[in-house]
Amino acid sequence: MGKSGSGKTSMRSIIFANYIARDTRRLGATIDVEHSHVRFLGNLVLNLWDCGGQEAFMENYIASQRNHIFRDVEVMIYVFDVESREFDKDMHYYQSCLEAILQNSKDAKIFCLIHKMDLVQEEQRELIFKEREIELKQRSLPLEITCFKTSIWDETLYMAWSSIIYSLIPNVRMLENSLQNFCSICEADEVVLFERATFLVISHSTKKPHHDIHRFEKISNIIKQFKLSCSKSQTLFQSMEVKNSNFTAFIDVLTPNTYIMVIMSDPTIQSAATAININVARKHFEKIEKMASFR
Amino acid sequence: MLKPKIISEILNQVLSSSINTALLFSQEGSLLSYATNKCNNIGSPILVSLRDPSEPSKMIAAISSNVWSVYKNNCSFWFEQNQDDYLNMIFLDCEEGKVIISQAGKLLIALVGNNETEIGLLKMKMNTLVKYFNNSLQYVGDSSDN
Ligand SMILES: Nc1nc2c(ncn2[C@@H]2O[C@H](COP(=O)(O)OP(=O)(O)OP(=O)(O)O)[C@@H](O)[C@H]2O)c(=O)[nH]1
Ligand SMILES: [Mg+2]
Repeated sequence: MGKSGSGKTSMRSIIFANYIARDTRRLGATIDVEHSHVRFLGNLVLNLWDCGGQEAFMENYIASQRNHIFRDVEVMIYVFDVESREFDKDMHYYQSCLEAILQNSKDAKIFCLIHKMDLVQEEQRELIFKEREIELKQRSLPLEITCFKTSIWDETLYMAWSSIIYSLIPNVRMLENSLQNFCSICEADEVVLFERATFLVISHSTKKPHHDIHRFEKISNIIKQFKLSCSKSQTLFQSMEVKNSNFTAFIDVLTPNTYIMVIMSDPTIQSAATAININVARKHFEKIEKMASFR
Repeated sequence: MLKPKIISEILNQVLSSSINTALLFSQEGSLLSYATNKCNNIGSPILVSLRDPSEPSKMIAAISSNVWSVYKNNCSFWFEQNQDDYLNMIFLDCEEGKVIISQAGKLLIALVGNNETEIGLLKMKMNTLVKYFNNSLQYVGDSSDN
């Protein structure tokens, strides 16, 4: 949800349809609702409803299509254009949607994305975001919401969507425990689990802290670009091993729906041993993934 | 799963003044873990001058796995485990030292000693290692059946 031009279709195309940011300039306004579904972690299917944000449509959703649009909602993602000059109108529609959610799907999780942050000067981003966040939280009561600042031009988009997806995964605790165990057994610095199609981060285990808090999203971004280049030259990306004098990074398919990244910095541990460990872990993670489908 | 540090500690326990290297590697010849004496002087001076300290062990793993598979492919009858008296170790008496190779689970182990090493001692140490790793490595192995 969100006003026309706020960037909903752009983010959907980047995360789920392999667009690069530049391509989104060609997108036209969405007419009515565009439905799509994405298979995620085995049998978990994400039904995405991209609701065109022009006022006529918004009025419709809130009035005549109210039950249809707002029933059985698991997550509502509301996108705000940070540069929008019609703050009051945005708020009006936002609150109408909240009201409809409260009536029809009161357990839905709500995420607000303050989008197009790249248009704001770097120094002001945090400040503006905090301001909006406080305002939105207050206006959303009694519902609890989560806010993110995002832009299609950097990794923040991946960060926000990873958190959204994370909140939807059943038995995510079990997945996390397994990842922790895996990390300590193979004596890795860090292990990260990515969803295969989107390369969104599902979970991670970190034994050795790293200074860059945006590293996962950057990697998602890079690998996704790399996958695209691979497919342009008609090959499939399967795995890679990157090594320098400080560390070795392994990125490999783990299950039919996930990739794993393992970071090792101990030079005495041989690559082949890590590769064997990833191989052995496959079976276990496939089992968890199968269980995730019976929810 | 493999715990590389622990495996290396275990391998380290069989080292002595005359046995200078112990290694665990896959049947394809990739080194998985190794232990070696500080003043390692196996082989030619070229090996010692290499910057990566695991390089000599990687070479030994590659060569040993090759030797093992040549025997296994050409004398498969002698390797069949249901015989009372099957082949489970290979000794190589080299110009500069002695090597013993054996299998544990789906992986291979090799010990390298200098010319003073007694073959019987190598064999005893190898038997102990194989027994230990056979138990702990039964699920680890080649990619085909995981
Ligand atoms: N600068 C900047 N531009 C963006 C960003 N995200 C999207 N845009 C641009 O915003 C324009 C509109 O994006 P859309 O995704 O079509 O907007 P929408 O929300 O789907 O609009 P409706 O379908 O009409 O509801 C496109 O030209 C995008 O390139 C962003 O993070 N930063
Ligand atoms: Mg749209």
